[in-house]
Amino acid sequence: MIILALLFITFGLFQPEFSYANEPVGKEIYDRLCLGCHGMTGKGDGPAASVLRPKPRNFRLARYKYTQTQYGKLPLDSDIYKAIAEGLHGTAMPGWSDTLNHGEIESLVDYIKSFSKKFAKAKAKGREPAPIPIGTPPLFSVKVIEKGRKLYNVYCKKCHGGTGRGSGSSAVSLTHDLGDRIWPRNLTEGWLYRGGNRSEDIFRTVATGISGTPMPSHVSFNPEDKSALTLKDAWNVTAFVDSIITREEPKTSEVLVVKFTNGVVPKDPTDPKWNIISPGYFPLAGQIIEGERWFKTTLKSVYARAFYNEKRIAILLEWDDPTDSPLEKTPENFPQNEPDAIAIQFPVKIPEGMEKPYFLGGSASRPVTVWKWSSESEAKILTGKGILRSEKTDGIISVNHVYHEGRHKALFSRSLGGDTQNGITFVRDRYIPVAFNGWDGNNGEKNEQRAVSVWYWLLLEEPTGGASVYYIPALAGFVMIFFELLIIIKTRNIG
Amino acid sequence: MKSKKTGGGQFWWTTITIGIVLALIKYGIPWLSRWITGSDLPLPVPGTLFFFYTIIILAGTFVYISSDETTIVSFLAPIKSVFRGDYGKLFFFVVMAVTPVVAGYFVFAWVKPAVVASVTLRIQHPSSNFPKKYEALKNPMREPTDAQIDEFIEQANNNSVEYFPQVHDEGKQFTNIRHLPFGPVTKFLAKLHSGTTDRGLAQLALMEKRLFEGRALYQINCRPCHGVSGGGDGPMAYGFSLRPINFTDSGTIDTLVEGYTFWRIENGGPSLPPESTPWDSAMPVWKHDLTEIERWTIMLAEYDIAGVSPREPEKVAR
Repeated sequence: MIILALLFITFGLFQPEFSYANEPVGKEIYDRLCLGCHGMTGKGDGPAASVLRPKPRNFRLARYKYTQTQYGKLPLDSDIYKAIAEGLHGTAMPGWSDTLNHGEIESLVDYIKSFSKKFAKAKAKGREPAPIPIGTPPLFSVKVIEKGRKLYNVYCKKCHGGTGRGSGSSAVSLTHDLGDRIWPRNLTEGWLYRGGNRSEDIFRTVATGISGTPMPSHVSFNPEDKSALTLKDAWNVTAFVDSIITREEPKTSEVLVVKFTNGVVPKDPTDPKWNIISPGYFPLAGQIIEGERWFKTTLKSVYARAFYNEKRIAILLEWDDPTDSPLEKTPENFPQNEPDAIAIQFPVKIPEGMEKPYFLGGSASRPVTVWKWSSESEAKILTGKGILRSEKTDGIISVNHVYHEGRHKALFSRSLGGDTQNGITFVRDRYIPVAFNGWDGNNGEKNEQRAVSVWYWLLLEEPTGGASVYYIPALAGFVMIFFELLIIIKTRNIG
Repeated sequence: MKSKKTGGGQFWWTTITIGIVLALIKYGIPWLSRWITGSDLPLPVPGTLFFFYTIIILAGTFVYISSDETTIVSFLAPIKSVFRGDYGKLFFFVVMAVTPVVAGYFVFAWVKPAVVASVTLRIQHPSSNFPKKYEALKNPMREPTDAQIDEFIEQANNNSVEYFPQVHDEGKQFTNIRHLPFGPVTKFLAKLHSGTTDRGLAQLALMEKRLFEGRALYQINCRPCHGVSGGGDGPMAYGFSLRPINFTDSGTIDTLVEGYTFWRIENGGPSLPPESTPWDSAMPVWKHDLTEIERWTIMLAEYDIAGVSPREPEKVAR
């Protein structure tokens, strides 16, 4: 009896491990959790698919983006498992490891594989997917990075651009296997990498490419092939990417501090004087609230810095955008040729109480002032009474703009005082609500189809607040020295 | 040289003890709090409390050290040695130079102006303008009426089951009740085709269909912000400082009556009262885009996805 009971318990305990290759369990989970996006038959055409970018995977093609296998080859089970468990960062695919246990995810992997016959065929022929070799990672020395840079310029620059911001000459016409437009990754913003941003992940992508996209495999696994990179070369390229990547997303700045200057405020967006301020970081998201909802923004954030003197305020906005739109020549498949634009939004008057205008373009009762720069028309000041209801005023705003290798810089400047046309008057010591909106013309963005931010604060820094910050600590230092001397005199019995 | 022999044991023990106790307060308590609450976010010890603890610990140590002469001599020995220059000239000068700089730095870190955003207090579930008539509303999609079940059976018989336009248009494969891959639907249809109409199964199949449609509408309209599984972590959520609500979190939709959730979906952010900062809310006004019945259907799925149920309206004694 006891032995039987023990056996029973043992089998009970191990049961999940034995039952994992269970398609019916996988199907049940799939129909409940995955079908909404990936569709009933795994074609990636679920009801929610139309508002998703990137599109959900079409499992019938058996083409997976982030794999340890060569470009176009079947993935390992562990690659599919990882995508389910951890999700794909920055996409609609969430990680399911909190919801599903190990066995459930494994049965889901089996069910997803059953959408394509390729897996069964490969197994029958004994050609199961194999991971690529990784070689030996070198130390990322200056020399290795320099080697990587040279290779990058030959193999990667055409799409990813000279600065890694995805502004290469081929970037404007890329499509993926499902026919949609696709942009090369901005390699400087590591927190947006979908397949992970550790060195191993970068190496894997360089070596295997991303199946179904124009990112090819750069390593040849055929020793006869001399035109492609070796594993060692791929590591060198990885070292270079490692040298330009920022892995952590900057912390969102709640307050844009406007620095006081005695002299003139800079008139040029590239003035070295800007370097003394560290930029504020403000994330942007698609406008999915009113009118034509916009899910496909290319602009993810804007960086801002600002100076003021007794007369004027100057705000420098910088944002990454792979194209300087409108393009001189549009690619045939993507003829959108709208201008690029950026806007700063303030309330018309600094609010007296806590109430602000609606962050999305204001409202009739609480309007906003919008400073808008566009690559096609002159910069203007608008009054907004809702995102769909804004009117140009006769106010004047001066904007200096430059675009270089995937980065826009627009310097807005205006007098501190405002009026009915110019809108808001800036004063010290008041928290002033500020928000940002951006349009990427080559992505077809116009009107309410744009990237938006919520309200943040703008604060004009006190011009003289600085001095006491330095003499109080100095005084503390001197008091310390005084006591030191006292003790020395005492311990050494001087005098 | 004589002073070295007196030993500095007491000094080191005291310093190490103070260090350990402060580290426990600063890092140990937050670590323990994570372990106790099961939350990823540690509960830090407030700055003023930390200050008071420090004062108490220092005072206690002082009392202990000065309690008898051998302790105080042992404690002061290393300090005296430094000032006397017992450890060599270089060490003496380094300590003399570094101490004022460290003191100055701490004072600087303290007086340095830090710009912080002005804090706005916000009431998450306001009731000041919540219309009374919504309070006792029940989700009409939760329990099918006899008439609805009859209609559903008839539609299944005629092969003319209808879906909401958005579900039908976006998921082109869903044009027929047969396309729903759920147990109760399959069972119901199998019986129906063999000539028997099972009303109980019909009701279950109808609920499966409603849940399915609700999930589809949720994934199309709500998922971008509130996330696939209702965790408030959709791909658009990062852009908003008032984070989209996490439905799985206790204290959100499970503490509210259905009528309230319905009212919030219907009127969105702009109709919140001022104490709930309507100007910062990115919640759309859904009555412009979804019909009343679509909104109730979404709510059916929303509670199901989050795995919670709504609070029952309180019965007022009359």
